Amino acid sequence: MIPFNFEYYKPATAREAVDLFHTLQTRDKNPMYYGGGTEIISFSRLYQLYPKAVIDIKGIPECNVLEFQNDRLVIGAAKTLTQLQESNLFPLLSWCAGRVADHTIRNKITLGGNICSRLPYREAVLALLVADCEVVIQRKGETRTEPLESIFNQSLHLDTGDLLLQVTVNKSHTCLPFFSTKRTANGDVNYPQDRIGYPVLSTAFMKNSGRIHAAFSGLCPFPFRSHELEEVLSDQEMATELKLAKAVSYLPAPILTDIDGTAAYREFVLRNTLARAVEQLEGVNCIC
Amino acid sequence: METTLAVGKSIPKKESWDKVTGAAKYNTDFNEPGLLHAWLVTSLYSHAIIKSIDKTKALEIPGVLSVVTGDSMPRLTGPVLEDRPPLAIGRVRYFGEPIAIVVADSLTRAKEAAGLVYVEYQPLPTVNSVKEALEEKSLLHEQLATYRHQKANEIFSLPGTNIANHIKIRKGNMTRGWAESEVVVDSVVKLPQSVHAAMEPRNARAEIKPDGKVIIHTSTQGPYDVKKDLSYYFNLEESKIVVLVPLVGGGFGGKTTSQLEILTLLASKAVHGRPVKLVESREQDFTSSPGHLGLEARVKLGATREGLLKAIEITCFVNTGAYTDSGTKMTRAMAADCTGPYNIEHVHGDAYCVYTNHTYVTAFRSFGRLSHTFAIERAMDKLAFALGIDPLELRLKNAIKPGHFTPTAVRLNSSNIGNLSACLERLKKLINWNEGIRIVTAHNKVRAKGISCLWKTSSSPPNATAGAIITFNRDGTLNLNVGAVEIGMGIKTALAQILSEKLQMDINKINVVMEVNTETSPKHWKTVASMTGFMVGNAVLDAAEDVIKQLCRTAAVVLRCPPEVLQVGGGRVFMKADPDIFVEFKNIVCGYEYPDGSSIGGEIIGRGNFIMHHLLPMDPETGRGRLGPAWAVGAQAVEVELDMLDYNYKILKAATVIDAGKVLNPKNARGVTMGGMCMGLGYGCREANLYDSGGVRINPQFRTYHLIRFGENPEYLVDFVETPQVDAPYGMRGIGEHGIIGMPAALANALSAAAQVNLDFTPLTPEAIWQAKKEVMS
Amino acid sequence: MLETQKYVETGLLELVVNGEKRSVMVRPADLLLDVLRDQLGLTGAKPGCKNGDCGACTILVDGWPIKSCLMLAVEAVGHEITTVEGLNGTPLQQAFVSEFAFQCGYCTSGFIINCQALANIHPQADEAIIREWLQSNLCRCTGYEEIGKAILSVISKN
Repeated sequence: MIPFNFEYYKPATAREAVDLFHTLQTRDKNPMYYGGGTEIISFSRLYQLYPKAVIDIKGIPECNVLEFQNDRLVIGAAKTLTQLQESNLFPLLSWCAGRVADHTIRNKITLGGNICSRLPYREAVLALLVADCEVVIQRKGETRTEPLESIFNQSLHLDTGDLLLQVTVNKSHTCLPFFSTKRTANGDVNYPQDRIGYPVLSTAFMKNSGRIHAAFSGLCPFPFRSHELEEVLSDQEMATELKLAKAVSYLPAPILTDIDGTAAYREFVLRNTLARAVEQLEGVNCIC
Repeated sequence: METTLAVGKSIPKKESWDKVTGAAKYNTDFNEPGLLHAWLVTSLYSHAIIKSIDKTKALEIPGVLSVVTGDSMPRLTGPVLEDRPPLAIGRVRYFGEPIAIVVADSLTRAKEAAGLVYVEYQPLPTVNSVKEALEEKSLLHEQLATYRHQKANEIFSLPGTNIANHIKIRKGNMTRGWAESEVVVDSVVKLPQSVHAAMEPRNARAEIKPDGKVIIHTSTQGPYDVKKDLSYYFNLEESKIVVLVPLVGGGFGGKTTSQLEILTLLASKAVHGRPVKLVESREQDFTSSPGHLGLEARVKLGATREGLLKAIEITCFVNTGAYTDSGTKMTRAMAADCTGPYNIEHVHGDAYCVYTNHTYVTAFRSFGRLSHTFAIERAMDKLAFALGIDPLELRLKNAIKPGHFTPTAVRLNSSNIGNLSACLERLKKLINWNEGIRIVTAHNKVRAKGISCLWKTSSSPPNATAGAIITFNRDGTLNLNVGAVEIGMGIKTALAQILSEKLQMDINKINVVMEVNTETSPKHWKTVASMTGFMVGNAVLDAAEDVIKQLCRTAAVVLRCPPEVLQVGGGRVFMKADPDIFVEFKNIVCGYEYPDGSSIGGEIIGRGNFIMHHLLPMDPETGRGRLGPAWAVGAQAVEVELDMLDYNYKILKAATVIDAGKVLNPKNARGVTMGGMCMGLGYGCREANLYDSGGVRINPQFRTYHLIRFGENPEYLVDFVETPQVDAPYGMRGIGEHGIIGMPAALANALSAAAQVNLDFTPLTPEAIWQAKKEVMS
Repeated sequence: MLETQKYVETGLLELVVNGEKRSVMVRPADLLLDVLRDQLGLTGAKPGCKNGDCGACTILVDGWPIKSCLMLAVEAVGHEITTVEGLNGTPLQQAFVSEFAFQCGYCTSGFIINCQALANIHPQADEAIIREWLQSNLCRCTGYEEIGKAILSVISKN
């Protein structure tokens, strides 16, 4: 039960949604775009969010696309994590998104919602970061496409009222070899998901033309991809022990300590995982 | 007696189809026009003076009728020691403690207004652990000496400290015991508080009728205690209180004492008796309502070189949280069974019930034995290691048996103790013990086993009673009305099975009244302690005897013979010598009508009762006494596979063999046992209430407080030994709780063996094992 | 041309629940779970956490399991809702009874709904898929073995 009321709008076009947002904004409605709504509902129940208006984006056609268009996979922001898994057009994304929350909730959580989540984990982002994906954003009067990495720094940086419409991925990147892990306080999570919980460490590794891409969640208070770290991991000459020691020094923030694990334990898990990733991706090629 | 009709049969629960179609009604499923809604304002601090409470803003919300605070009930409550104000008075002692109740015409408004009740706190130092409590970092109850309690022989508090109760066990001669001990181990364990997490959050609703009658609808295991408590606290005649309980969505001990019933009655009083409903959010259920105790214990165990136990010194500190509720009783129960199911002549036991600024505790499945068993069984494994004796053999060697005496000096016989050795022998085969305790299976992988024994008796008051009423319908079917609450363990069906067997009658012709209404159902102490089958079952047998006597009396007239030559079965009363001479129930249960229309007999109403016998309070100096009528014993094992590189592990198998006396319903007994095992493994591997340094609960949701989920459960191996308890229905023993008891200990023993490090705590997360390994290696 | 749907204050909605058209009075912020229970008397879906963690309130939306505590009633407009009351005498329910797949029964509606959806959507589901789906629901009474047997008895017949 949400102890306050809000207005609910479900626009039919992206342009309307953005216009509506700005109108509501000027009326002090503190509007929020609403995808699956799981976070808005559960946070509002505890007064951790207080929107006076929500704009449901599930009626916007662009947000409901899930298909290859020419050489890119286009994923609408309103597609649920389950739909990504069931279609399995981008296996690494299935893995990363498919270990978020639990299966039933993933029938409701949308890709856009996971990317823009207020929780520090946002594991679907890991696959998108390592695959060099692009995002399509609706602004007042224009639609823009940008590389995700250029506007994702700890979180997705959008101007007020900007709406994430779609994510697109180079088709050839959807079938690159990958390695992905998730560890919770209670142990590993395999795929299909066999354990539920926030990550002590969640990872996505992808190998593109001999270079390892790597993104992490649970390690710092935000998901990130580190090019310096990738440099080290991809170095054919360097001994694994040295790689691990160096890699750990390239983290963008101190390692997290919380109820799921201490920083020391997370580092231990990270080292083990990096070692496994390097071993797994040794000499593997495209999975298409 | 032959038990072929219903006893020993896997009869599905009577309420099965209601439960699979959504038709089953739980307390919060009822709604009525005019029902008011309440929401709790709870403490944001673990220990603080309440400087002021400002209700003004809350009362300005339209539809808000009242904001009830502690001044509405300036007295203390508690099932044993009266130390808890139902709403905080001037001070809060735990995070989540109820401070005020907002009553409004809708839940939305009540909740909105609750956010507008401003409480000004002045923080006090937080007692965040047993250690800090014993160091007296802060005193929680300065007035401890003045607190009332009605049971002089149960409470030995130490005013001026944080110790609410101290129970002693003194048996044998310790000097001799240690002199005879050639090998001694010393073991310390530490276990956190946790939550019951019944899927139905705790809730209640109350109303006061114009004639002063109080109606309480609640999700409780103890409706008659609610009635008794409200009568006592509010100075009402018991006839003015009706408590109604539909199906309960899980209890596990968490719904045994009065809390929300008191609060809703206060709320209803504040709005002129109008009906008020209070349903806790999951967060409130986890923080405001009582949870499961924490324990820190030290065990010193001595044995001969051959492995014969000679002496034990055990000290238990129970973390009872901010108030005692059932904490004092669980402290006593733990002391009474303090040796574990082993024969030890020389015993020195101390159990302390310690206040901290954590959520207070109440009964939890096993009533403290779960934690205590962990302490004993870790010590047993360490002793086995020190002696170089197989852990299972050590337990077999010392298993308690008929002829032995318990720590409270009860002499045991086959009926009251059963057969632990047989359980161990059966377990040994089930878990394939002989293949070895620790086996390296693959690169970095180790498979290991651990075991634990268990025992438990009840802690019922010596005058606890149960009743049963049997009435008939015109067609000869019958109705069974008892005060036992159906909380999921299938008790109503088990009682129907007992009745079906006794009357040799089709169980489908027995209707069981599912709800409990204290106005019309005969009293039962409460649905706890695995005692319901024993107590109410005996009352049902008594009522059945009464019915048989009445049936035979009427039938004797009809069949023109003395009642002694008649027998009951198949819905008929017939002549033992010639079953073809009979009269059907339907023709006599509401009186027998002669062909000319004149009638005799009248309606048959059976009544039966049961009262505990020969229970004795414990002696304050030695602990001598008798808390319960009998024990159920058992042995459990866990098999794990541990990754020695990253300390991830899988629980592969969990095994339990319990002496059930007689298994009334095999599928149900297996189910209840597996449920207990799963809960015990959950506690062992991941469950714990977590607090920050200020005593604020930081994991009050299922999202952060993890239970074992589907597929994380191990393969279950469950079996039963049947040594009858002669004074129990068909020889059965209460086993509803027992599956949980040895699981954390067996898990810790298995993981300790696997990781080759002593793991003397829970939860046993991979990180915790890694940490323990790291400490040993550095 | 489609227009923006608006629900700005308490108003009447039409929902399709268990094949019937039902009218309800809701605030835009009202949750589907509360509306089903309080207005339609469909109390099979249970509140266990209201946070999406326990699954006791699971219902079907167009055949897919959804936690009704994490869905606004207005979101349900135009979709087909099925609650446990919409199932009657199914083989799955029979299997839950015969396997003793519940004790207190509070989580049962949610489990049954989720199992039913799984059996419909993935009639050949393997153990990994069953596990993935059923992890969404908590049961505090059983040790899950019986629930696993119940779902398998339905899946393996396919």
